[in-house]
Amino acid sequence: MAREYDIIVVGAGPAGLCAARAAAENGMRVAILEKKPDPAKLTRACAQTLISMNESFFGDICIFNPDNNRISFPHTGFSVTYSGPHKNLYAQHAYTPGGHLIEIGNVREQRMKGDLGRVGLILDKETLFRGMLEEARACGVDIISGVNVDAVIPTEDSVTAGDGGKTFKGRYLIAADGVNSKTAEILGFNKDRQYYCNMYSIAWDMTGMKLPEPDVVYTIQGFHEGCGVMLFALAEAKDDLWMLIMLTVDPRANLNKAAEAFMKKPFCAEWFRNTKSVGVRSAVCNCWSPIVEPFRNNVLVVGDAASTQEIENTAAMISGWKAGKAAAASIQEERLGIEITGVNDYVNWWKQIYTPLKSEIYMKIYAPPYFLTSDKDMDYVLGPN
Amino acid sequence: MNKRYDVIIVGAGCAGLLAAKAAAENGLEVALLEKKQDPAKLVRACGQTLVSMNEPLFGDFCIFNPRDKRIGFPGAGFSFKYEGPYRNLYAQHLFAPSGHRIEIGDVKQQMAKGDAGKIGLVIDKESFFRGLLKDLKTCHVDIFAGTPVEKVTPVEGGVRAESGSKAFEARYLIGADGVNSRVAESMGFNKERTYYCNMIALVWDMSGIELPEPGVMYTIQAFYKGMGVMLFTFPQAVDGVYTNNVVTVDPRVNLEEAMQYVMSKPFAAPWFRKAKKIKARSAICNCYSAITEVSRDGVLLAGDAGSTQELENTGAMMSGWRAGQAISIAVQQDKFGLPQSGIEKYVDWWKSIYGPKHGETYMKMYTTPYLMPSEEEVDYVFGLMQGPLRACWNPYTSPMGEAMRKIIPTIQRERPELMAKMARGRQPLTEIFKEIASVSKPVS
Repeated sequence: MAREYDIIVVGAGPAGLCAARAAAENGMRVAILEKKPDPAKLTRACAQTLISMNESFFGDICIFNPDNNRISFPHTGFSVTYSGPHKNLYAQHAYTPGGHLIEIGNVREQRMKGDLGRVGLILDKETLFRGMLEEARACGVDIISGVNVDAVIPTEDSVTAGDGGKTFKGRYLIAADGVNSKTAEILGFNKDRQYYCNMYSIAWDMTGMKLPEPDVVYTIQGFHEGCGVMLFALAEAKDDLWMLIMLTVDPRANLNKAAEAFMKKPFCAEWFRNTKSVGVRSAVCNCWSPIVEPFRNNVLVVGDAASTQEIENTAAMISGWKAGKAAAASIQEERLGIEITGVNDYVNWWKQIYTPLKSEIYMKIYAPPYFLTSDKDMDYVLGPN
Repeated sequence: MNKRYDVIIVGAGCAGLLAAKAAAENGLEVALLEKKQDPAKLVRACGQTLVSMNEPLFGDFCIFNPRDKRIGFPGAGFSFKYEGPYRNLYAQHLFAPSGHRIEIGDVKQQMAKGDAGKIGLVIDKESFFRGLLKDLKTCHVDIFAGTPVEKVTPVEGGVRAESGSKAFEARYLIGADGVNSRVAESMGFNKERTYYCNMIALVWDMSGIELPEPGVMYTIQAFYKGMGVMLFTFPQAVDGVYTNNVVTVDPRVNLEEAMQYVMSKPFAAPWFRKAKKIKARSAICNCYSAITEVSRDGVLLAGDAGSTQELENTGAMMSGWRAGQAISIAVQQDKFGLPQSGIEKYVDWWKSIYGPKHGETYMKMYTTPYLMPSEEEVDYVFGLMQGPLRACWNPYTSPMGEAMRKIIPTIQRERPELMAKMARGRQPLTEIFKEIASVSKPVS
């Protein structure tokens, strides 16, 4: 017998937690089904950053307000609690394979501007999760962990989801199960999407890293054994903790070996001389064109589940919140016997804000190895001349 | 030099409290200035209700969530804690002067629907105030009680608010100081408004009232010494306490006498046999046409300050929250030198949702005594109406208009001289209220 709710949310990431709270605050009975036994634990590779802190992003502005322990979005009109450590990022320094530096943002100038100068914010995602889980629980959300949803059955006025054992039934289901969303796959949302490639990443937590500027994200483009790869190095929110990420879209690349080789490059070897890995996480993401119609069969798809790869933590929260309140409005309309329009708000927003064009722009970051097909070509084109 | 704030909010009512919460959650430096010494105390007459719980209002829903003790607005996407007592209202019963009853909502049917059947929610406004004030303290809003703002002036790069010898400066200011807004007056917003009349209300909190049915708002339309008055009687959120609210737009009415008169009507007298007055509160409201452009020189109006009378608590909460978000966006856009869109977004919402027409629709409720100018005539017209009408407690979509249209042919046939009087209803409000407007003037 299925447990009954108004809304079932699949996935307790930034999108799912926001969706659940937006719905529950409006009195909806909400269950979140999360695959991980400990929903606060970070198990996949993630940079743990909020990007675009000095510009609008997805039609909103992300504001970090440490005095009140809140991260807020004034256009969408909500905020989430965050009481963990943070660091500011003021610039991105991109290196060519041979060590030529392209500065995206002048770090000294940006730093002088203080909070206004930061381009991104580094957070501790486990603390973010813990805070958001607490806020969701406080407004009555049932958080059910260890449920790996592998069956989703829509009917005319409900959706049932389960993992073979337990089943849960809701009027609506919000699929917030990330970039490889099983829910989207099961319900056929992926049939109209274009498949681009996969993205593979490994992230190492490290101590002892000595970056030239501690508040800059460093990237190094290049090739390893003929495969295009990219290295990211940046601080983590906790003191003396750093992150190294190796990324590729080429399934043949050996990211472990590529990381070893990149860390020995003459212009950056010094940064990594005394590093020690204290944790490692990986991720494989399917990169599809975004879902154009994110609502079908009483299911709303939000966050990365509906997008290419990826809408970042920031946009996942915005889209989750929008979907949660839209579903709540629809249920209220239905209860009062008036025309159901709530969900349209979410669908229209998604279509307006997240056009296919944007996802293609995002994927272009990973295109250079396919038109600059060697270290030499990259150094020449991106180099000092 | 005083601290310079990002935003000053004038008035700690429904609109001001929600505006302050929104702005503070976005990290703004907020000063909240409140006239009353104790901001949690209710001093003016107020129904303490949330209207239109079963219909959209101003493009949103108001949802009460008793499980988590929250009031939520899914369209705007915000909610706040409400931990006070509450009571559901399922119908409004409107009585003609002689006692003929029109049921707006079949109370039994509505109650059977449970939560979805309630048309309104009675809350305890002091509990609401206390809850929000507590929220504001945790997000570092500076609250200045006993600080009535008399004057607001634009200054270089900002706005200045004066209260006695004290002055406050900020980049922006939100005027949430209610229907007789000093901010609106001081900034010249009222110059282009049409003045209709005043609305005068007297509320008695009473114990021992015995209403025929629980969960119903009783309304009696009557005339006292030839002047139209209306009495609203319904339970408060606190057990055993009732609101007895008498309202008129005629300044010549002695409300205390009028209240006693309506209470003594034969059909109503049994309700009040054991009634005892606990406390009295009154209010005089200026009824102007609504302001269309609610932003000027860094000042934004929210809630009743920009509207006719009134946006209800519900509408005030929505507009306060949106105004607070709008200023947060504006401040952030200022900081980054981005194109401005925050305030424009609020003004667009205000115009599309709360157009001047809304204010006129609202005021129509009070035109009855000027279209049917005697108890006998109201009795005749109300007597033709067949209830129960659709359950609704939304001043802008009341089923009374439709019920009235249905009986017009009968009135035309039976009482053409009354029909001629009622035809005045199609004239502009200023025309309908002309006589009382000539003996009224806006209060300051």
